[in-house]
Amino acid sequence: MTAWLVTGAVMVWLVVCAVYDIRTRSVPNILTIPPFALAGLWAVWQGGITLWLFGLVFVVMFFSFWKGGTGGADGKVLATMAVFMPAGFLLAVVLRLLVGAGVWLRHGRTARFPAVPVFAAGAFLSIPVQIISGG
Amino acid sequence: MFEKIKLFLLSREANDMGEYAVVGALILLVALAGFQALGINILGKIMQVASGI
Repeated sequence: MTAWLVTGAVMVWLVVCAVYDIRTRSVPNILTIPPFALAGLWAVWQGGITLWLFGLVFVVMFFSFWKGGTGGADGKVLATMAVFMPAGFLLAVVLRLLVGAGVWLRHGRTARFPAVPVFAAGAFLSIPVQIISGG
Repeated sequence: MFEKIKLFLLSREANDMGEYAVVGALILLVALAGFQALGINILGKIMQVASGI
């Protein structure tokens, strides 16, 4: 029951962030920093694999940000998803790969797209997967 | 380095470049597959943790 409450809260948060991203190509820090900090604290408290995954996503997204290839808000949203909605995170990464490839092929390598709606779509798609798998 | 981390944490930008999205997603998927290949069911274990919140 609690897991579904967390999933619902993450979904509402993702939808709000996605709307901001579509409209302004940015997400306010008030929507990204607190969940990211909470996810980081939870990952540190849990330790082990949760911390490894959070760290992995943070490092990959940070270096992508460093090179100018991704936004900071995208990195914080994806790292938060990795901790609180891992199935959604996995589908979000797969969708990011597909959408990124499509944008790259159609509009060139430097073309950009709003990524948070893609993450939200991955999270939505993960819900039937979780129901089917009994998670 | 710390300045860059601070910039990352405070960045509101939410645009992905197609090229970086593909490479970043591939790195994450390969890393996850690597964990699975090493016998660490990373996603399964994290789903257990998530359902235990």
